[in-house]
Amino acid sequence: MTLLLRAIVAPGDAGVGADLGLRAVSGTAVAALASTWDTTRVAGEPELLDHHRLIQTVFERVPCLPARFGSVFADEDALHVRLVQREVDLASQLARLGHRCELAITCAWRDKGVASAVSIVPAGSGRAYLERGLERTRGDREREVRAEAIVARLLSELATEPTFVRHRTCPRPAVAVSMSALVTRDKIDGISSRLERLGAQLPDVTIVVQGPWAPYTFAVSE
Amino acid sequence: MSRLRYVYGIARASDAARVASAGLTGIDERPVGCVVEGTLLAAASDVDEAEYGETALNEHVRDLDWLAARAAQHQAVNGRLLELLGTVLPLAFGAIYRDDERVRQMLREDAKDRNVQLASLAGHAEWVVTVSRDADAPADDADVRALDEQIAASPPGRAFLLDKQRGTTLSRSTLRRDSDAANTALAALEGVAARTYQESVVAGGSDAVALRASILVAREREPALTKAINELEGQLGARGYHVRASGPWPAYRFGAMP
Amino acid sequence: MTREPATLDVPLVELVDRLLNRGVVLTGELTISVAGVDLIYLGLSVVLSSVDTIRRAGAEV
Repeated sequence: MTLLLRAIVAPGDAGVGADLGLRAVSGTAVAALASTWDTTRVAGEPELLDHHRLIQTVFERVPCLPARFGSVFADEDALHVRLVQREVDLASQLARLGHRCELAITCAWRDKGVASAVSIVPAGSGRAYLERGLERTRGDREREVRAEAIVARLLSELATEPTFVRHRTCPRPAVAVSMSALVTRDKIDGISSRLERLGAQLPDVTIVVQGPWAPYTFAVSE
Repeated sequence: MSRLRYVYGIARASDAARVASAGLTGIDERPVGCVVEGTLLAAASDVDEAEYGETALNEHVRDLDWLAARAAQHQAVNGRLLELLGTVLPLAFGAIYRDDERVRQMLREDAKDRNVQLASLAGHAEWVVTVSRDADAPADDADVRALDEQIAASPPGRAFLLDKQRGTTLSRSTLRRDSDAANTALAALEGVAARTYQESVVAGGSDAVALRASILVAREREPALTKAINELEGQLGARGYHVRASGPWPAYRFGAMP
Repeated sequence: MTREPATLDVPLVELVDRLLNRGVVLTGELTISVAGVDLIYLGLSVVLSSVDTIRRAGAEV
């Protein structure tokens, strides 16, 4: 019976996903929650969102580490072998992250015109083509500088937990800042309202806050 | 000859005597002195308007040799100030003012924020940690292996198409490996640093930098930092990455943060 | 037809990025590849911030 790994929980929480169709494979230090998976199935966006939904439901009940989508095991024994190899590290991650959630903070450029970074411009003269290329690079640099300034504003709003923030500037054409903050549940309302106020003040980006999610970004992969 | 004032960094006014007696020299070998205003001082030297006035400066900064030499002199001054004083707010290259009165005006305007920053940096230093992918590390990725198996099992036409896909898959898998290595490093650094900040890098770029992070570390935690870096080097080395840490630096990143 | 990544819902892309590229990894016998979702690392720019320029210049002294 092939199994798709969903999440890692403490051994005492192994039964938490029974009503969700999740089987538990237990080690001494952690337990793995997994779904049966039909290997002929093609995975697309609905399967990804389903993965998230299952993890979220577990996470609302108990601390857990989300598994990256896609690890399939031939059977429970195969999963157990891998689990036991990694369980000390997984247990320490669970202890470090367990009671905290991830907020995904995304600043998207309001001006969608700014987003078209990689288009091939039909060249008029060679010089015109070069000048357009230079324009784009300068525009990229200006956006990068602006994105860093937005990061500084965000960090001052998140001043409560400065260590546990990760960010990337300009990761994609449409996005100025992609940030992940690891927070305790009690801080979420305060942070959300501060970010909402900040978003209203910033003329060139909209701020979207998603979560609280399981700590995808702060988990160490291996 | 018209002179302008080039400012290197900001420190507490109470440190003025120590700066004055240190005999520091900065850009173009000019002596570094203090401009004092209230609780703060600015470490500054004279520069010639002919070369450092706005128009001339804009021309000069396109010359990387010109810029690099002066950036090095700028850092040398701030590095000495960090050693001498324990805490300094280094400014970015190119903070040039018409005269001492403008410098004092700058110090007055930002006094409250600067004092808060100096207080929060006291007893800390900034380090830069870089994680880079080894050039010759083999691709060890489930996606790529799975694809290779598919290619081996496919008839020639499909194998050709899948092989083209392998190019894209390889770069996506490299990017994901880089991202994993970066997150592993950040988790380790978050255990010793007071603050961490990811500098912009090109993902999957030719210089193969997976992470460049500025971190703020309490001076007494420097042994713990060394230990964490060594452990990280061992962990990531097995995955085809090397780790470098440089410091202590004046707080170029965190001295500028709110 | 594959959707242009830039027009995908930004919040959705943030979620999908985490599901595909973050979280713990226990390598199984098989890694499922996901069809029709081609995104994430596009259009990055190189910026040597003045912070980096100064530090690198200082390191060469």
